[in-house]
Parts: sequence; structure tokens; C-alpha cells
Amino acid sequence: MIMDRKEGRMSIDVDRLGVDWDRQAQLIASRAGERRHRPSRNVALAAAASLAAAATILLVLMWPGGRTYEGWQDMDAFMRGAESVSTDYVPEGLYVLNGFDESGYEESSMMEFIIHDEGAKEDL
Amino acid sequence: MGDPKLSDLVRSAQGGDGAAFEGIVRALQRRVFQAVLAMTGSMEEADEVTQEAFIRLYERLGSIREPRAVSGWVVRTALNVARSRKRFAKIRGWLGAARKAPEGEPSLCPSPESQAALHEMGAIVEAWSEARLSDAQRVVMQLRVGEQMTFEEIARELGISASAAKAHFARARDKLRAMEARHGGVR
Repeated sequence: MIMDRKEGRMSIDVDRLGVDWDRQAQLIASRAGERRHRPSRNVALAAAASLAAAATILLVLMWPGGRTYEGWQDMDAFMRGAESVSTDYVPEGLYVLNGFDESGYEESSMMEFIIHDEGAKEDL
Repeated sequence: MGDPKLSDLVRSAQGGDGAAFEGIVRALQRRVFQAVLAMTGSMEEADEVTQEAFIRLYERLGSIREPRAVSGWVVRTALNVARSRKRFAKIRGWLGAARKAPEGEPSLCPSPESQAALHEMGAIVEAWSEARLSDAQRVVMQLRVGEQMTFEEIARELGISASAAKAHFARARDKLRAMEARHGGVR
């Protein structure tokens, strides 16, 4: 081992550990070649993870009490006419659209938001 | 800067030359193995992680645009693999799940002579733990003292600045000295 305790220098001397580097290199190269010809487990895992993520996003978006069908339409309108809408105002409008009008936002504020929005007029 | 030979090997390996890939492994395995060994303190773990890092490199050969960066990429990949295996080992521990044995034959067969060296390695790892060296401090200490790399080389391999590498080393040395002082030089 490489050690100078007083100087605070300590490290493992790998040369004394008996590692056969040649054999190790051959083995790694051969395993890498084998892995390439085998369908990757990572690909299957990645596909499963993507599906799970997509399902989670859909579930969150479609959850009752979340964005309704009407909500989706108005979101489209918002996206098309976004320049004409103040960003401070939008969340309030969307909040009402989501059916939480009992929280203090009037239904009319939602209508105002939509009417001010050019894209939304067509939908209405 | 960089190793032209390694660059040539990478280009040949990209062209499907298996021997060139083996050459890359030969050129870098010692460094990768040491870095992981310093972090994990386990020969078996260092062996498996080193293999995994090179296999990942093999799978990504086609996308390498800067062959000189390969060395650092493999070292950092290996350290990330080691870190995530550590985390999974903890989770497995909580769940009481047994660890799956690695596929194929073991690549490390320590000789009887190396048993003494293994024992000494255990003492070093224990000292590092007692002095509370972080993973980064262990790796920098090992690469600097064990592999005799310059701070610039270490920095390149670990993707940090040379001054950060120096700081890790200085901090590690201070901790080890302080531990030594606590023991009063008696072992």
C-alpha cells in the first residue's frame, strides 16, 4: 500500500492486488460484444418507463376536477391567442374553467378572459 | 493534451475493430478500476462496475465525436454507476432482498499472495472511513497518490476544475493527518 500517514497520503496499491489486467481486458471486450448482440434490457426498461410516464401524465390531466373537456378547448384557444392575454390573468381564468369557481373567482371572469382572447371567440 | 493513440483506437473501434476496443480497455481499465475501488472499497464491486462502464462505452461508440474525451467519460460513467449501485444496495438492504449474482465467470481471481495486499487495502479503506473522506476525496487521493496523476489530469477525468481537485486532495490530506494526530502515531 502507498502510505505516508504523517503526510496524510494513503492509497491502495492496485499492483499488489493480483489483478490480471490482460485477462480482464479480454473478458470485458468479449462481454461487450455479447451484450451488443443481445436485445438490451435497458431498451425494454426505457419503453416501460416511457409508457408509465405517459399514462401518469394522461391520468393527471384527465382526472375529474382537473381539466375538463371544455377546459381543453379553452386551453387551445389560450394557446392560439396567448399574446392578447395578460399572463397574470390567465391562471385565474383557467382556474375557473377547472370548475373551482367556489374558490372566489366569478364565472364572469372566465367569460371575460375568453372574450378578450381572439382565438377563443371562434370556439365560442 | 489527449492521447493520440487512444484517439486512434477509438476511431478504429468505431469502425468495428474489436481488437481496438480491447486496446481502449487496456489503456484505461486500471485508472477506472482504481477510481471505483477508492469509492467502494470492494474489489468485486470495482470489477463489475468497471466492466459495466466499458460495456456502456461500447454501446455508445457510434456517437463519440471527441475521442480524447473517452477516458474521462468512462471514469465518470463508472463512478456514476458505482454511486447508483450503492443507492440500490441500500434499498435492497431495506427490502431485505438478496443481490443477484453477476453473470458469467468472475474476472478477478486474486492469488494467495494478494491476500495480504487485500488485508492492507481493507486497512486503507477503514482509515478513509474513519477520517470521513468523501467519495470525491477518496477518488482524488487514489488517483493522485496511487496512479501518480497530476491535478490537471485528475480534473479532466472527473470533469472538475484543477483547483477543485487540489482542494479535494488537500482536504483529504488534512483529515488523514488529523486522524493520525488523534491516534498519536500509535497503531
